[in-house]
Amino acid sequence: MKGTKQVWIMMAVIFGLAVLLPSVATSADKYVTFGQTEALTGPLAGFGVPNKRIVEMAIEKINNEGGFKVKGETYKLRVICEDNKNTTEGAIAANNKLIHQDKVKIVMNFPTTPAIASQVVTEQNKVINLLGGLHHEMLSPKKPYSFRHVMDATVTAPAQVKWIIKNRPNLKSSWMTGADDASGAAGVDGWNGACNKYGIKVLGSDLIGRQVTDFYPILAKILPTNPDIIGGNTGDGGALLLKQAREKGYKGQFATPYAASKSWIKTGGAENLEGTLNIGVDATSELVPKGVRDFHAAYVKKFGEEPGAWSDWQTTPPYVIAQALAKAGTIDDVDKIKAVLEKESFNTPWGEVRYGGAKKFGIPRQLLFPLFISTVKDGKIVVLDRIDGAEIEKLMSE
Amino acid sequence: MESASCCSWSPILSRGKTVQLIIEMTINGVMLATSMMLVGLGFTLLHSILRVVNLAHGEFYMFAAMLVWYFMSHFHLSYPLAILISMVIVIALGLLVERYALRKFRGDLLSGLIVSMGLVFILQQGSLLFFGTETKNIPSAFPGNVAFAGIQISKERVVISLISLAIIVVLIVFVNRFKAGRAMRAVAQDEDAARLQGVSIRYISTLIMALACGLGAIAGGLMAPVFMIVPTMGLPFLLKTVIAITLGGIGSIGGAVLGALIVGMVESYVSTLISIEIAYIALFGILALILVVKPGGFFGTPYEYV
Amino acid sequence: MNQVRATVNSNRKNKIRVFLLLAILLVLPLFVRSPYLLHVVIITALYIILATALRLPLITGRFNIGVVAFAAVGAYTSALLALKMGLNVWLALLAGCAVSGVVAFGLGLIILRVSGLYFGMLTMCLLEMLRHYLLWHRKLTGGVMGILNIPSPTIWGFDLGADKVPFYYLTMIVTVFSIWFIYRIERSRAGMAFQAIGQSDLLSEHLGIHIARYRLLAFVVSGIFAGLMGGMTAHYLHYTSPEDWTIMQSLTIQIFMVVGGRGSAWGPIVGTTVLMTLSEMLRGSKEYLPLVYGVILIPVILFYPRGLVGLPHSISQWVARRRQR
Repeated sequence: MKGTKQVWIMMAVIFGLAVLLPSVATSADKYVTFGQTEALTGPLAGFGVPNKRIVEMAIEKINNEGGFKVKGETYKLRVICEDNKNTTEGAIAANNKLIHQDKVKIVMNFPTTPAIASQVVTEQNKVINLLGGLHHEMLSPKKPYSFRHVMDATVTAPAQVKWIIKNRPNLKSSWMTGADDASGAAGVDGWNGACNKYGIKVLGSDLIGRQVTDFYPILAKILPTNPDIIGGNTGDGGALLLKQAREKGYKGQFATPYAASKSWIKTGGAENLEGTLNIGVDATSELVPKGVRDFHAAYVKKFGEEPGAWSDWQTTPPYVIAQALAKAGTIDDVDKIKAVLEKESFNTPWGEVRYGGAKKFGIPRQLLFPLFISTVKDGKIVVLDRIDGAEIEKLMSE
Repeated sequence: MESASCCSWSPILSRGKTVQLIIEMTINGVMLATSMMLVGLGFTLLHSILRVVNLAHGEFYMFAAMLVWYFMSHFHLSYPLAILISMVIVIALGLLVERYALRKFRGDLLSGLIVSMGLVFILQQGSLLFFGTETKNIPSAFPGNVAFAGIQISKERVVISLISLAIIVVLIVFVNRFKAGRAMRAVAQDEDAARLQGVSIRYISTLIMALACGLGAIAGGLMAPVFMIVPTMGLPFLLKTVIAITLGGIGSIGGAVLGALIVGMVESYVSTLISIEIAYIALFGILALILVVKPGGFFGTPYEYV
Repeated sequence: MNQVRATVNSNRKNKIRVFLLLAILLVLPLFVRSPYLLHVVIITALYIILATALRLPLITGRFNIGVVAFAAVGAYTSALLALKMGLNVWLALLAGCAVSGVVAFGLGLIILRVSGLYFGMLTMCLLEMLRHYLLWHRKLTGGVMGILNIPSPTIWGFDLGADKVPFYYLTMIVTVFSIWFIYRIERSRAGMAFQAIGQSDLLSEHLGIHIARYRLLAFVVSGIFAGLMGGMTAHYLHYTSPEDWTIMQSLTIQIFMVVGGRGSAWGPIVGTTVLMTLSEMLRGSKEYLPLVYGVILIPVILFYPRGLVGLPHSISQWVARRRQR
């Protein structure tokens, strides 16, 4: 028995050491580190992993071009990316680690559930939170340190629907579907809200789990109502729904409140999805900002496949951070940085952008990008029209 | 935003055309069912004869689909050849797993569960990172539709259903007529007695695992063009499949077919008439009911192992 | 006589171990200042409650694979009562436990007669059913968006959730109490009955043990403590959604318990602590974590199916054997 006791003690000691040993954080003076949490495991890892990679690419580019200057000193960016497992607990653990152990002053959080959860931690600790989430309650005067750099459907749908009303007046009714998670629900809500406001009749809508791949039963419900527009899920499953709708003989218009990606088109089949209205960006279209095109192409070259649907937007925060720090003249005074974020505009791969939406959210926290009304033609995304940030802001606040 | 709210009775019925609707819902149900049968059969074989729970069975299905895509897109193999090769690989993997991990835990439900969870982690994240994060597709092998009783059905789905049924028939014949098949049934009934009769358990274990993985791999390969291929397509699909075979009776081939049909029908009817969320709730509710009333399912016999 | 002394000595040793552990826990925040580490400790403690609660029906031969369902019931009940009815958080927590216990009772009456794998599957299905219900009933549960701004417990106006340290002590008190309570049940007559039932239904019946009643008892107690864990989690994290109560998470708790050792009361504690620490230490592997985790998990369970609690004994025996050579 003596042997066992010794082993217990040894194990406890090793254990204790392992736990209490602080993690090694090497930081030369020239680096500013910020935090990032993504869903690197779980069902949304298909978004999280490309996001992590593209942020690393953005940082590399900024650093290679000389970094940024704060009060005369040159700094480079560095990111620590943690897995938030797409759960509340995971997000809070990751954010706690980044804030208290890695001592960052700025974090990025994506996707929605972890982002909402993270706000508890970041607001309490006065850390700037660049959110990639799709819940309208995320932005409010009660959460002054939260900024959002993706546009969810409540922001984009008014502009998109208004365009449809003007350019496709024959479309009068709709049935939208979305995934049964936050982004899906936001998409459906945003779309239906805009339809109700501008006069497209909402015949119904559905939230469908991402794992569902057989939509025949749902289509048996939708198709008899004969909607002019049928909308697909945010995930690639949405493309499947539209493909199966064509299989069942539906000849009407497809639309999605989000962007159609290349894999989305491939999943649904180019012939099936011909003419689908979306707000997508094609890496080769001239109307799309060059910066976005370059990143997209670089990603494809390096990894041999398309980045995730949200990755194009995730290139923005590193640029915003670098410029905000430079303009604020500080690397850790969060309130000064916050003030700069509110007022200034930033030069990003998407062009010149700024945080707006004060009328809708009560506080300017929504980064406004140009919106591209696109369609699918011959299996490619073709941009039909471009709506600028100012117009989007006006429409979403109406 | 709730879909056609559950509490207001289905608006779709008010549109008339009830007969056509019923035909459509029934056909959809059959389609749903056939997609589950092969995987379910594999799982039921493993469980009833080998007494192991392999949660990673769904991952084998997913892995097979991934491999088919990989061989078709990177090596430009033809569809049937890709399925064949991926079958071989998945079966080999399954045999390895059976020999070194699962065999030890025959009868020990919980340990087998944990080991297979480890496999799920490895296969799922490994597939994501190795095959890439993008959703994958394979062009349909049988494009086009066929009209049946005024309803359009995809040709591909019909072919898959026929192939699945054919495989099941072959399996039934095998189990009933051939020596190996009867040995399998013997082991399922009473392992010790089977040993006394000269049945080599090791041989049967290997055979069953190969069979189960083969079925899963074929299913993965067949379904790959119909749906999309993502690393997380394993577990949710497996859960539905397990519901189906539990309903029908674990250990029974006929039970797997019947269970799959029930699940398919329920999902089809309820999804169309009310909504998909309610369909899932109804599904689980039915399972609960059946299990409580007849724990072995329709055709199965309940047995206990700790 | 020697045998009695050996038992008394081992009881004393156990008691010393426990006191030592409690002492360490009491002064931990003095040495561990990082809110991040305290957070990990708090979450680990909450998972320990769940893993320990999970073990009780296991002794009677029922694998509650969907145990997280009861935690979800506790979490949502408590959160909704506190938020929408303005109920005092302590009362809400108690209500969460109560509701979860009642649900366990009602369900248990129906499903406990099913055995083995079927029962496990059934609980998994019930978990999914609950999750889909939470997603569907948006008006009540917030649907996929979940419930935000869940309040923390307060004592005389002092917010226990504002800082990690007060909540740490609260969690420790709750966790230690839970473990102690369940341990006492295990050591009681009821616990003996549980063991008997788990070993052999037939013999237990012949001994006059009312199987169904004891199984139900174990199940309900497990449900109550799972509900407690759920409520505590919701009030700690201030946000909950259906994504937090998935089958993956339920299976993770199973892993904690089994790797620790399902035959011992220390099992869930050891398993949860070791695996949670391991996950946090392995953060550096980022997206490769599941691979590393799986690669570690499989050999561990292959070589120690009875759990890590047996590890020190095995090591000391191995050392002793080497010495003999």
